[in-house]
Amino acid sequence: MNMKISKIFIVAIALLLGFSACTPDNNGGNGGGTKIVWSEAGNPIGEWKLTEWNNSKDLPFGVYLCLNEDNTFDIYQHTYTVLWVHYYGTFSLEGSKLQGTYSDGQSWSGTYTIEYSTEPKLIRLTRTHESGERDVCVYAASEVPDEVIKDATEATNVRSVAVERFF
Amino acid sequence: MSISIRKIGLSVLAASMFVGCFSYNEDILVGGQAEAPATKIINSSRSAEAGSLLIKFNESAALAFEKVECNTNVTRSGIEPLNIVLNKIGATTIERLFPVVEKHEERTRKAGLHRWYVVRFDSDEQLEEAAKLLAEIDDVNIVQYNSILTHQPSVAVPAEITTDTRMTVSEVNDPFFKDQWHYYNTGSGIHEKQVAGMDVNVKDAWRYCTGDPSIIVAVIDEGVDYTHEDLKDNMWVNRGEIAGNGKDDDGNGFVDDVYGFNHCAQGAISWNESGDSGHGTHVAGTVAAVNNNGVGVCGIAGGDGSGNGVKIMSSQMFSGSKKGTVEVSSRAFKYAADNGAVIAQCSWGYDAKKGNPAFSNDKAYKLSAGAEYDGITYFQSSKNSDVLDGGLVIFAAGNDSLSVSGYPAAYRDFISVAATGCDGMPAYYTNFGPGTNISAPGGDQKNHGNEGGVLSTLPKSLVRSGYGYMQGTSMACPHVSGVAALGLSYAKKLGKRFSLEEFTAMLLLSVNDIDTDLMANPTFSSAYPRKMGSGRIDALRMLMNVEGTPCISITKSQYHKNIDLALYIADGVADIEIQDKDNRDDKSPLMSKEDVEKLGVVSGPSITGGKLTIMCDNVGFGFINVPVIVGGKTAGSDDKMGGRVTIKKIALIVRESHTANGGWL
Repeated sequence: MNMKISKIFIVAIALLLGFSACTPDNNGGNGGGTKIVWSEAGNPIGEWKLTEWNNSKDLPFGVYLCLNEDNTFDIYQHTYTVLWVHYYGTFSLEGSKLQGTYSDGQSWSGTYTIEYSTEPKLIRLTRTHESGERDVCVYAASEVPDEVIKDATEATNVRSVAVERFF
Repeated sequence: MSISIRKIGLSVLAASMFVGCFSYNEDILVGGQAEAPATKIINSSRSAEAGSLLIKFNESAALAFEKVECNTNVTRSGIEPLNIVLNKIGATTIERLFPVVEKHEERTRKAGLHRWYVVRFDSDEQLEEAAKLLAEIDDVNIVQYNSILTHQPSVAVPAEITTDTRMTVSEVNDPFFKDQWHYYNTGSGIHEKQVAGMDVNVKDAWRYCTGDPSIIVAVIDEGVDYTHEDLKDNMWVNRGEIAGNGKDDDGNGFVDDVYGFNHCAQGAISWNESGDSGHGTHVAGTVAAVNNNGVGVCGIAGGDGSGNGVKIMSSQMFSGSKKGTVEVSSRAFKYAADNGAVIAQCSWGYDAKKGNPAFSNDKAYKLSAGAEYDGITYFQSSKNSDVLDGGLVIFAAGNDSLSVSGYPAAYRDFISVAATGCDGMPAYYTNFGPGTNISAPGGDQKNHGNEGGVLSTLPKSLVRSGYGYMQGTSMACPHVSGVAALGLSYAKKLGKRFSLEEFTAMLLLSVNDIDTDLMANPTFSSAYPRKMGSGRIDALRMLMNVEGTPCISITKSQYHKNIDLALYIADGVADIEIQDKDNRDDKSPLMSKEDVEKLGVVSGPSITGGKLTIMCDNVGFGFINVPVIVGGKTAGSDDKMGGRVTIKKIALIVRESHTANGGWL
């Protein structure tokens, strides 16, 4: 009898952990430092800086993401060009599903699941592809520097490097 | 170590008692095959200083020679062949070109610099005959004439202090900033031909960074007026030295070198000797005149008024009417290396004669440069900063209107800077073409008036206001030094570190397009396109290149062919040639083994016609090392002047999918 109760207890604990909306950091987060607790409850509005992509930090490129109260977004990227480039558009959030459309009518490349950490203040955007491959980006709360906003070239003015990349 | 010839002279009288260390006999020679004396004389006596020669011993001879002084009885040691020659030519001293400094001696010896000596004799003696006699000594590897170098300064045009009510620039409060079109060109106020944007773009760059006091720039030139109101707070200070006490307090081999040292006069820095032009003070101001201090002008890396500008070290090689020589320049580079500089700012070079450059190719320069080349490479290999693993050497291309860069600038491992005017076009005097790496504002007073020159600091002993205009590739050069200093300051701010090669590539590719404008201008369209280096230097692009690497984004498991790499290098505006896979000078792999494995590369990477081909099976990022020729269609070699081969690192991002417009999400 005692053995049976113990087993039930153990199973119950396992079920509780499995169903929890809070998950300890196991993919995309602060690595070996502070343990990060991710939650599906939170507020995405704010300015965020990409700090980790698929467990890689020390990224050779820069991305700032601004999710605004009026459901518009701004992205400042230092990726394919020497100077910063500004994209903007609108986004929607349904539950934990985040998706968006650029000002030129193109959709984001997919729908992202958004999770939040309060301490440190982070968001994690995960996109799972049909192949099962996951694209996981962690952003830290960070104001976009004034100089970045001022210097950024509008995406429409940039030679469409991305298009020339693909065929 | 300096040996009195009188001692050696006396010892010659007892020559029969010596057991000689040296010999004229080839079979006793140490250090390799004896060379014919003529080939040991590496340069021409043209433009050489009378009464001195530089010689380089082989290693064992240098060691043996050092023992002479250590041995109290010179009659025992003996340096007979050398003694004989020294007496023949009436030599007065022979001393190490690079004096012994304990804390640097190990490194000095490793670089072979301990083998160089200066022989001095009466200036009436036949220089060529003396050289020939020294070259006949087996254990002398090299004899070098002590060539004289020039800096071709233009006459400074004083800037008048007025209460001009033209627009002030809110970011800084330096009253003359509005006249520094070379930093911020509004298109008006200087000359009707000036063009907006033809500047180094400091205003945008300063939003990110204005300097860092850990970055030291050695001005190898006339002395810098370290008392100048607009320079003194950005001067390097040797904290180990007590000024004026006549002692080498810090044991670095130099007495009272608080702000640098005068290698010409072997003493205090000077800037107002007869014949001085203010050249050193002017170039120093372009690099780091103090910003935002309510006086004077701005400097590219002059800080924001809080004391955070980069620091200027005066390593003086010209002094009044005393011309700089190879002996002096060699020491100036070594001093800079041994005392913490990370950039050598060199607005000087070898004069062209009768329309021909002093050297026709790198091999000729390197063979002839001897001690100077050794001094420069010693500086390049020094590690004085935690952001750069070497020393950056930047030269002016020269003002002879030649269609090749002058030397030393043209040498492939140095940076050569050509000059443009306030219209962004080549200045009338600038050298250009093979060997030229980049362009920067140098001013053109012939076509744009006095204020079309570069405005910077000048000694008040020369110009009452303390500020004035000069023109030249001499003025263009410190713009590149200043931008480099700003870039290193930003690297410090971001906690980044670069190899010398990597940073040089970033610097030379931080440019705006010049060739489109050249081709559109009938005055310049036939001779100048693709000959002004990679383009016009841009300080903001420098900082952005420090901040992040341009990225190529590809889709996982798709075969990508013909990715145009030029678009990712300086956004396609730099004048470069991308070397093909099979024609590369640098045979190191395009991608590291680690990155190949990490990204699951299944095809490539390879480069043909400047286009990349690659296929990767794993998501992630890595780097491609793209070999790029800067400043020329073909790479310079020992025998032919050309562009500089450098490796530009580009990041490769592999993702499952992308948006067509390049947006990250």
